[in-house]
Parts: sequence; structure tokens; C-alpha cells
Amino acid sequence: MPEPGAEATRPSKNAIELRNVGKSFGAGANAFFALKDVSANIGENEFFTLLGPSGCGKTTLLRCIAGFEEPTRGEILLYDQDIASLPPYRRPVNTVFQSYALFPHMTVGENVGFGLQMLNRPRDEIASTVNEMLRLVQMEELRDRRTSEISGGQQQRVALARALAPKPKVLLLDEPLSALDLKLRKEMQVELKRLQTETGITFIFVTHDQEEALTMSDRVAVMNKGDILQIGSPREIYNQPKHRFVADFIGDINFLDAIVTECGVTCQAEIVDVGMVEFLREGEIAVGQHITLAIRPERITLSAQARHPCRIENIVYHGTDTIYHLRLPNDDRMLARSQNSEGHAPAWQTGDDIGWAAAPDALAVIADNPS
Amino acid sequence: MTAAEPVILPGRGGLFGTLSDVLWRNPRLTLLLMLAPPLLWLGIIYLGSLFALLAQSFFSIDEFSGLIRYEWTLKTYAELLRPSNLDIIVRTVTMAAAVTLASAVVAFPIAYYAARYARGKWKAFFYLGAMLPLWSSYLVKIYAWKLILAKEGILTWIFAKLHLTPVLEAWLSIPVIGGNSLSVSYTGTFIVFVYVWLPYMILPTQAALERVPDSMLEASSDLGGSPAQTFRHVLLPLALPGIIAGSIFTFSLTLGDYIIPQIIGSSRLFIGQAVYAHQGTAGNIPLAAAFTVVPIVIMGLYLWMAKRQGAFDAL
Repeated sequence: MPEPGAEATRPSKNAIELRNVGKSFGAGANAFFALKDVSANIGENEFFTLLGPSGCGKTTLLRCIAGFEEPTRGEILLYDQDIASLPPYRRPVNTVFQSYALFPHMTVGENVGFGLQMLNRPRDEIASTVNEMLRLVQMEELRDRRTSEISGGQQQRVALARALAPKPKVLLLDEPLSALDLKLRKEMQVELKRLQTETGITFIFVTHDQEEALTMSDRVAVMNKGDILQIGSPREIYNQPKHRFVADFIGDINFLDAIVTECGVTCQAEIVDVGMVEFLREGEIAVGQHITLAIRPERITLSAQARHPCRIENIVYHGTDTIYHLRLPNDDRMLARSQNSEGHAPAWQTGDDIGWAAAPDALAVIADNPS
Repeated sequence: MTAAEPVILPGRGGLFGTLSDVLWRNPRLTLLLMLAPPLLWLGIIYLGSLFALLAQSFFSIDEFSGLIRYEWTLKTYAELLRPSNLDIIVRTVTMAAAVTLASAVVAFPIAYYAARYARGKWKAFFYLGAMLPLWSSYLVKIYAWKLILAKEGILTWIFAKLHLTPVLEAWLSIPVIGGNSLSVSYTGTFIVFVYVWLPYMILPTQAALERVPDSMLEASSDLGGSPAQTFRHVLLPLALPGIIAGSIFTFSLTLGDYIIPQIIGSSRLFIGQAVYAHQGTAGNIPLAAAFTVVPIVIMGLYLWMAKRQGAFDAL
């Protein structure tokens, strides 16, 4: 279902505009295209996430925005000015590195004040900003410690404070939470979101963790093989994947091959040996067309009376919910997820023949582009 | 399982088997056994001779008989402060400082290239190039330099071909550092010292630079540091332990060397030559010993100052 107003919440002003950015390493036949043709607009105050598997180009894109790499072609506009070939120290853009990259020969406070020191700000301004930043990340009492004397989570906060201290126009975060354990990571996710709201700085966040992307972002760009495949709010990305890769990369999903038999306001399609399903029309769809429909496991309703038959092959208990591995009459497999409510005992057992159904808005049409 | 079947694996047997069991159970004993021979060597032979030398410096020589008087006195040290001896010390320390500084400046770009850019065969080439001079005889290298720097040598010829002879002559006419030709001037001594000790500066500097992650330099430029600021505030402080380690070599080796200044340079003495002369022909062991104490004291002071300046903070 298209999110009403999802686009409308986007600020009108663009902090970053990427126009046909490409980056290749090496030359000739050995050239590797890390970024092919990337275009995107990132709004002011937005929490924008680049999501993709390793090697998809998300870090290269971030490094192009930071200035560590120069794009082979295209433009990177920061508030309408092209910065693509500026050195990093002339860009009001700061980075939180995956490895934190804190300076080992300086104290926590000196690390945080480094950016302002480089900009030759007066001493008292540096001191007050350092205190302010350390207060922001709740690290005031560790100001005079060495960076080697603090824990990983604390280093993470110092790295954040250091990057925020010069008050950048855009903050880049390169998988900053990947080195933290699960509990700390969850804490920092909330913390990052709070910092972004409090400082009003545009965040560009790189991650391969789909859950992180969904929980924190205003918008997500899903990348693969040097291209952005889809940009949208977390809801859009999750519920209306336009791309088989996007659907597959984020969470569990079932793909159903079908042939369109009728198309009005809603459309009908036939899944061979399974039956007719109904879905919402989206884009150009012609009768007789072969399409792929995608459905999330939790959008499938199971019941003994439902119209499409299936057999339970396995039941996996997950605490909050139960996953049913189903086999369809056409021999395809399908996953269904149902939430475990209190005192709810599984109604079926492995081997039971039951039925499944899906609401029309649960089925997303995937552009057929196997990748 | 039958009762007869043993559960514990059999011992290895023999004296060594028993010994293995004992050593495995007592790691401290193993450590003691491993360290005892080198510690004995260091303690008795090395430190012993050093203290013997130190003790000698507190004796004095009888000016009439030339015999050593075995009485505790600071007379020899007072002799060190005589203008002629003080000259030797100042000359040597100045040379050592200049050589160290020049080595650091020359070594840094080479080490930087090797640590940050050289890969594969270029890295191998770097190690070979840096260490090759250490493999040939020290004397051969110095005589080779004597030929290069001589008045009839290749350097004079190159200067002539480039029509730069006046530059060379102007340089040689500068008092103190000049002379008749490069091979008999302090400039020549300096050049050869820098050449001979350079590998000792390159290798530790390269090792230190290798440990500086790229992200550290990126973080600095990301936070607004220009290349000069990044060098001053990040790269240099992080490389400093390596440069200090290298300078310990170049400084102390120059302080103690007595061959290079004897073959290349003016006839004025360096500490090493003074020690050599006093303990040999002059037979003035106490003064030779006192001279030897000077580099030890200077190195001690140098390291203390380096530590106070925070040179080892990044370690």
C-alpha cells in the first residue's frame, strides 16, 4: 500500500544531491566499477541509510561524499555546491569511522576538540564545545582519559562526539555499530536517533544490517553491485519492494510466479497448480503477463478453510512467533509466520494439510529482474 | 570398558619424558632455564666490563711516571673539561646531532613510501635497498666514499660538468665545515655518517609508520586537518617512537665511531678517536674511560628528555 504522505514528510531542501555518481578502480579490462550510476537526493535533517551487502558500493559512496575517494564521474552537491573534487578538509562533512580511528596519543577531550583545533578556533570556544559534546554523549567524566583506557562502547561515543564537535552540515556513519555487542548496539541505535533529532544534522548511515536500517532511518536506499535499487521509507522498502533483490535482502519473503488473468482496480493472477490470487494494481500490468508476486511470511493467514491448499513440512518455534515451512501443490516452498499469543498451542502438526490465503494488499509486484 | 584398560595416556618415558612433565607443570622453571645463560652473559661479561670501565674513570694517571694511580678521584673528569677535550666532546655531539637530524629527514620520505605505498615486489626492493649497505664491509664502504669525495673524485667531476664548481668551492671555503676537498672536511664526514647509519633510521621509522592505520590520517583530514596539520598533529606524533628508536642508533653510533672521522675528515679528533688514542699509544686508560662515559651520559639525558617530551606516548 503506498504510504500516504511518506514523501510529503521529506524536507524540501536537499543537503546532498548525488547526480550520476560513478567510481571505478583500475583501468581497462581490469576496471572494477564500485559505483555505476548513483543518483539520490538527501534532505536536510534526514536520517538517510545506505543498506546493502558487503561489496555493494555503500562504503565507496560514503567515502566519495567524505572526500577520501574522488568519483570517476558525476556530481556531488552539498547545498547546491559541487564538492566532488574538494579535499576532505575543505568539506563541512564529518565521518564516524567503523574502526572509530581515535587518536591514541591524545586524551578523550583532545580527540573531541581536534576538529575545532584544526579550524584554528579560539581555545575557550574549543574547551566549551568539547564539554558540550561530551555532555551530549554522556562522557563528561572521561574527558582526561586516554582513548586506550575506555571500552569499545565509550570509544564509539567519543568518535561520535569528535565528529559532531565541528558542527558539520552532514554526518557520515560507516557501520559504526558493527563492533558492539547486541545489547549495546540496540542502545546506541536509540542514542543515535536521539542525537540526530537533537542536533538537527543530516545523517548518512551505512549498514548491512537490515533491522538497523529499518528501525533508525527516515529513508533507506538499498544498494547492490554499485547501484541504488530502491529508495524509500522503511515501510515502503519492506512492504513494497520494487526489486527482487530488495525484497530478498530485507527479511524473509516468498516469491510466487504468476500469470495475469484480469486487471482492473485490483488484478487477478493465476499461480500454476495453486490457484488465483488477487493483488493491487501497480504500474503497467497487462493481461497474460508473467509476473512475480512477493509476500512476507507474516502476511500469510493459515487456516483449515483457506482457499489455497498446502502441507506443513516443518514448524519452528521462535519465541515471539512460529514459522511454518509449507509445501504448495506446485512443489514450491513457502514460509508463513504467525505470532504466538498467550496460551496459544500450535493448532497443527507437521504433515497436516491446511490452507493459506493472502489479502490483496499483502502481495507486491516485483519487476522481473533476477539479480 | 574393561577394568584393565588404562584411562591415562602413558608417559613418554625416559629422562626427557620425566623432564617434559616437570617443565610443563613449572613454567617459571622453564623460563629460568631459558633466561639464565643470556642473563649470566649480560650480567657478568657485559655489565661487568662496563663497571670495570666506569671504575677506571675514577682513577687517575701519574703525569711523571705515566702509571695509573688506583685512588678514587674526580681528577680525570676535571681533565675532560679542559678546552681541548671539551672541544672534542662538543664537536662529536654536534656531529651526532646533525647526522641524526639529517638521517631523520632523509629517512622519513623513504620510510613513508615503503609503509604506505610499496606493495609486493616494491616492498621487497625497499627492504633490499635499505639493508644492502649493511651487508658489505664497513671499511670498504668508507674507502669507496673516500674516492667519491676526493678532490679528483667523481663528485668534483660532476660539479665541474654541471658548471657548479664555484658552488662546491664556495662551500669548501666556509670555515669549520669546509676544507681542501670534501674528503678532508667535516662535510665529508657528515655525508658518510649519514650514509652509513641511514638504514638504522629508515627501518624503525618504517615500522612505526606501518602501524599508523590509514583511517587515522583520513580522520584527521576529515576533521579539517590540512596535509601539513595532519603531518604535524597526527602522523609525526605517531611515528615519533620509531624516529626516536632510529635516532638512538644514529646518535649513539656517531658518538662512538672512530673509523669514519679518521679516514674521512679533518685531523681534529672525535670522542671515539680520543678513546682509541688514550687507551692505546698514550696509555691513559682513566681518561679513555672518562671519555667513554660521556656518550653513555648523553644518551641517558637524551632518552630522558625524549620521554619527558612525550615521544613514547603513542607506544
